[in-house]
Amino acid sequence: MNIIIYNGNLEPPHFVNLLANKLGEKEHSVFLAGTANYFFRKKKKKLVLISTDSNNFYLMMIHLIFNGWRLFFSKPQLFFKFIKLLFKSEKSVRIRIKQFLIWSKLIFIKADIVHIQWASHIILFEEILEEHLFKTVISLRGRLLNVSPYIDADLKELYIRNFPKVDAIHAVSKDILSNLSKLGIDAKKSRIIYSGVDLKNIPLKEIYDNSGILEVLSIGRFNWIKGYNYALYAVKELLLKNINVHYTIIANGENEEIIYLIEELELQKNVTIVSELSHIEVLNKMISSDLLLLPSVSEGLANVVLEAMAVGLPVLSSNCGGMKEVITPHENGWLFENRNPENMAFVIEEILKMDNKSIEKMAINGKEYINKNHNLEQMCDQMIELYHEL
Amino acid sequence: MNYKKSNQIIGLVLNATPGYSETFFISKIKGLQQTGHKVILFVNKREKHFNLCEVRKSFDIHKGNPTLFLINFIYAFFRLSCHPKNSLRFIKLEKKDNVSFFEIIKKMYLNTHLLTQNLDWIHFGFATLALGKEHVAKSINAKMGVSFRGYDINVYPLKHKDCYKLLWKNVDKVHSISQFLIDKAYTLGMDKDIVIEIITPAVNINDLPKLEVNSSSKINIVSISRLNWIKGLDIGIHAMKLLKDKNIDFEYHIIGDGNQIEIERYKFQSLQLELGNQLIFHGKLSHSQSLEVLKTATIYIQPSLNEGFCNAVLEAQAMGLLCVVSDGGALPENVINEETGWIFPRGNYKKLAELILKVNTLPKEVKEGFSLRAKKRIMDKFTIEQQIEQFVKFYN
Repeated sequence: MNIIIYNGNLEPPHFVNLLANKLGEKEHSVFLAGTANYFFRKKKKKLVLISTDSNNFYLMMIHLIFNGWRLFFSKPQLFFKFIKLLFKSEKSVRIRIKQFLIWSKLIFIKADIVHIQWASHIILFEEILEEHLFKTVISLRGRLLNVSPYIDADLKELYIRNFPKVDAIHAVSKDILSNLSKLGIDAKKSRIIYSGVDLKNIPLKEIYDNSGILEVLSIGRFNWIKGYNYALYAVKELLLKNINVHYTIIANGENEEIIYLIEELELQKNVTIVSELSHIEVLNKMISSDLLLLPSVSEGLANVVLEAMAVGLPVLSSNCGGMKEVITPHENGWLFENRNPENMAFVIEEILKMDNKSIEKMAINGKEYINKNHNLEQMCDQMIELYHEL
Repeated sequence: MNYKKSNQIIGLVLNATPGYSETFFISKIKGLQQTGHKVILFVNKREKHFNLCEVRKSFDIHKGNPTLFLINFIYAFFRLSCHPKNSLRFIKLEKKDNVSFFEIIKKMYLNTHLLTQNLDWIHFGFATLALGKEHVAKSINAKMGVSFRGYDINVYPLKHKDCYKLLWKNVDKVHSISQFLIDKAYTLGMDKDIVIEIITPAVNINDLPKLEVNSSSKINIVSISRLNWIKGLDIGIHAMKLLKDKNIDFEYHIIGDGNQIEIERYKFQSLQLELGNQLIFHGKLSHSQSLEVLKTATIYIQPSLNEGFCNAVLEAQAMGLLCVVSDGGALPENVINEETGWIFPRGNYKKLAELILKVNTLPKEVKEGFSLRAKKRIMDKFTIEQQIEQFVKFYN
């Protein structure tokens, strides 16, 4: 089976990379497709990277000439079909050229299944969804489902128009799937497949010591959705109660709001921002921390929490989105009320009252839960099962 | 007003020619012209329709068009060579600060429109606009003035430590819109000897409509601000959630625009807190449209984390609106707590909600007292005439 993982670009986040590589190991031809500034395909282990188009005008023209001729001579019927479909479309010329290039590339590599990783990219496929040239699967994750369509009416319309035409929908949590009915979207086939952690390559935390400074860790890009502002207010509250806490945020880039709040709340000595860490460095940082904090105001299902649990780092998350499906409070982690820094600080205080043994027990429960419900092998098997059913 | 004609040439440096709604710069330019000064505007972006004064545009870098850049570069070199003294002084001053040769050339190209002038004053409309231009005034034998805005002093230096080191060394006079910004600038290393003038924003009282009498029990709450994080709108929105939980009949109107991410942030918060149609995002409105919304309001709130001064609060007070503002930045200079309005600790949405409820339940005559005191204070201290007078003094 030729499976195409369409990511939009060829620099996918860790979990998309993991999925693509793992599927490749399961005796299927897996291609990762997206925009890139190179023309020829590249090979990374068992994965083939396909550059569908480019942001560079000249490279885009080379793609167009090459793909156009190739399709015209090899499959003239499809060539004219694509031209006809795109001619009717009202999208910008640039988008239509991009669509032509993606579609023709998928034809050349004889795609059986195209798995669209980010819901909004459905816009690039909408005209050919009913042409049955290949099967389509779309993943529902995070902001693109639980935030944007509620604010952006055009995006909501795009989903309503196209999701019923997709062959299968993959959701990362029950909560994110529930958005379909909330938005009035009809879907042929949907399935929850929880994200998986690569348990073979994960280091384990072994020492649990609740005395001394509490090292709290958050990981995730700088964006309002990650709720770092609330976390900083919680840290301030803890410090005002003379609770010794140090908070590290691992995020690339910089964020004016967070830098400002650190200064405004006088947290310079208690908060550190770390950037540009490799995945293994992030995992090692988890081992040396005491608590993973997920202050997000909205999440589909945060992979970082799954990874922290797999490492054996105790986790505290807001009760947003799908997080309640993973964390059972006081059993394998803790939850606090979304957007409520006082409650966040209160739960941290409660955690500090626990002895090392109880905390370790919580971490062990977390590890077991991930082993059982979120391992990468299991996730890939479920994904392949879904592909086979199409 | 009769001013002494002083005939100075003042170069005002802005990013773009001001729109006609940007009353601060428009009234400043008009006022200076009325008193005999000549104003030349130096900008990076020029609006075709702007004809209030002479405008000079900086040279562009022309990324992606090397031919055009080369032509411009040769022309700039020709113009600079017609003013050799200015150019040499600039090179000397830059060299003294160990600036590399390449950087000096770059700066000269970007400052050609200023280095080829004969001015009495160069006034930078924002402190950040003076970056890379610190030696220009001395090179052309002009005095250097700079205006402080909120972002300049409160946010930019957090990301760029010591960015104003050269500015403090070269500036002759500073204009600040509030005392708060001056105090903050001292913490950033500004020399205590630098001459400072506080000239606050002003209100044209004649332009403002009268408030409409609100006969219903609904509290109409308004904020005018960009949807930027520093405006603390999440605090305001959270306070509304508390009002809703108490079954208070209210509407919260937010006037102002933001980028896609900002719009998503606040609209999603409203959705998540289930505020429904009790929270209305108006987007960007014209000044007169904003006044239309303001005149039906009961309470004006400004939950900002920081403000350089805040024109919107000034205008709301001038209309006689009851204002509840945070203690962020210069807001306590703008609103006198328990006299012309009320102040709550920034970031504290519970206190904001409490204050809104308290203000709403005050007897009519107490509310009127606040409203009158606020109006009177604005009419006494924040008029356009006073502002112009202060600006004329600034350059004399």
